Amino acid sequence: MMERYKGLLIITVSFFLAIFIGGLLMLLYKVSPIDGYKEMVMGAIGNKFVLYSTLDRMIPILLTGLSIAISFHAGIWNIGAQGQLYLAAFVVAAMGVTFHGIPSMMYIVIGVSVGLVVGGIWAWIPGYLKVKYNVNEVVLTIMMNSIAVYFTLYMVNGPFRTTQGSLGATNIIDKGMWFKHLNPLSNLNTGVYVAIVATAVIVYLMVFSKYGYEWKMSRLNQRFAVYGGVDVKRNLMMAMVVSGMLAGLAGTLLVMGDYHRFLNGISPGYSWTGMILAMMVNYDPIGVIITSFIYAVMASGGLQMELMLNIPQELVQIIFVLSVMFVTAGYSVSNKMANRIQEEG
Amino acid sequence: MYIYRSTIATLTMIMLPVLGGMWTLQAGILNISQEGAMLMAAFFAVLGSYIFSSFWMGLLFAILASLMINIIYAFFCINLRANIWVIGMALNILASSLTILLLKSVFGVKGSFTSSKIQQIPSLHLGNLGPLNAFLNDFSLVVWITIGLVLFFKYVDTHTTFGLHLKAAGKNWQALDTAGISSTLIRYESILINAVLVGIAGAYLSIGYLKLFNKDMSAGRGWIAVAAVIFGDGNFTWTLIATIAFGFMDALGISLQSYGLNSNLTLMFPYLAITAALIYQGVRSYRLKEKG
Repeated sequence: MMERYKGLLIITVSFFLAIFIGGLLMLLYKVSPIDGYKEMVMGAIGNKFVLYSTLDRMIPILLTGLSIAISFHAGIWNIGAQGQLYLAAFVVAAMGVTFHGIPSMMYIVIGVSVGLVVGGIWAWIPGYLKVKYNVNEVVLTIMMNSIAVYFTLYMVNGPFRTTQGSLGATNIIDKGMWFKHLNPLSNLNTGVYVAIVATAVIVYLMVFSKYGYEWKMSRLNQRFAVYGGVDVKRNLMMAMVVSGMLAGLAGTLLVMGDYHRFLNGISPGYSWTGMILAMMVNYDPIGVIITSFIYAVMASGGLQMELMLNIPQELVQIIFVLSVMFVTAGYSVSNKMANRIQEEG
Repeated sequence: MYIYRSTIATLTMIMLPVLGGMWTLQAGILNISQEGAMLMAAFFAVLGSYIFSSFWMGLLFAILASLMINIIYAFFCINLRANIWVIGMALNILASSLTILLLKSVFGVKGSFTSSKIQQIPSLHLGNLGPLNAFLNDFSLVVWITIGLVLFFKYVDTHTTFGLHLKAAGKNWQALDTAGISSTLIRYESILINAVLVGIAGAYLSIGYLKLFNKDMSAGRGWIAVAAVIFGDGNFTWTLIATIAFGFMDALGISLQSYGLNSNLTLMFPYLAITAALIYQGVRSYRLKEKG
């Protein structure tokens, strides 16, 4: 329990330290930090419409963050969320432009299932190779990211290119597959309910079920886990596949809910952001929910800040990176101190 | 011939971070921040070359920028024992955002900057070599530096105590420390050498044959280098073979594009090749272990 409070303290202090330095950087642009942050927060949650946009931006980061959290928590390093997301999104979109006339409810269920399966399979491959042949899953998933991204780019510039305009995208998918937008001004859509269900399932798996504990054991001490009767290999595979399914779901929701098509750059680094957030909070699913919301507020507020005050929105990323560094340094220093206390005691 | 020359260009760009990265890996640190360091170097090469109208200043700025990223990486990974992925990816994101931010703030442009005030790194014209003209003439200075470095690295790797110390720092640092040689120091040295090489690679990217900085222009080259390093696993020959193969695939993809083939499919080649190679390597060593 102490461990948890210590982590919380380090993250909070680091975050405010990064915010403080971000404020100093705003002074370079001759903008008062208070105005800057006010603009950022108002631009993200100031009214119903921007709040909807912020929540919409949060969903893919939340899902990829949970995806990473679950695999890293179990000690199998799925760096491939980007590829799983792209491939699932593309396959769902390809299906949506090919098949028509399926009843809406059924089509939505089929669409989401296909997205989950494709994401799961793209994660299963490196997972299997890791567990069976001990191939480095980190490199493998990175390479598979590039393969998936280039493959989908090829498809949307080749066989599946839109017939309406010259956009690097597929055609609009069948209406029966759409998650309806909740209001016309933002992309937030009924897919949010699916995301909420998925989040609840993951929180249950990681916090309340025996898998959460077994995964952690597999990561911290594999021999002990085996000795304790845990089927480590099966657990690793399960974590990997669930992780891929979540990333796939993120892509599926982007296609079926946000854009109603697949397009180039459908995920501008969501999965990397998700990965760093997950690692910052030590793979705690609740922590991922909170930090992805804060990140979404900063990112969508950053745009408003650039429009109103002429501060580049990339400043938000820099604040984010700074807080990551402070958290990492904080953990390291506190661990060293803890070791020293133990040695002296 | 075009493909030969473009392969040399791509190879140069990948070879430098591969050489540096191979040494840091031998010393026990896989360097994830290559992509970011290369991107930062590319931006600062343009900045330095633009301000002073001198490619030397471009190179210097590039190396300093790369040093900054590498020293942060080294401090976190060596002194603070942080997870290499968190810090590496954070630095890559930092480089991508910071260069875009600086493009906006310093040059007032979005996405891309070019100017006639930027001086390119010169190419070497060796006089008339007859039939060898197309093979040897008018390559960038950086290409020749890289070829020299490959030979130098090969020599240090096999013939000097420093090469031995590097491997010891990675394989058995306790033994090295006991022998009175600081493994931390050796690791820092490998990272600093890497920083200089990646800095040159970054400068080559932006002012080597262009006079331009594009946002995210490193376009995964740093990652290919990391992949080659991991594939070679510290072994000089294998690392070299992997690099040449990947460099060729990458250049081939780009040339096929000029014949009207969809470039995205061809750009997939190097990654498919690496994946196939990794799987082959994994399955083979698994089989060997089962037999032995």
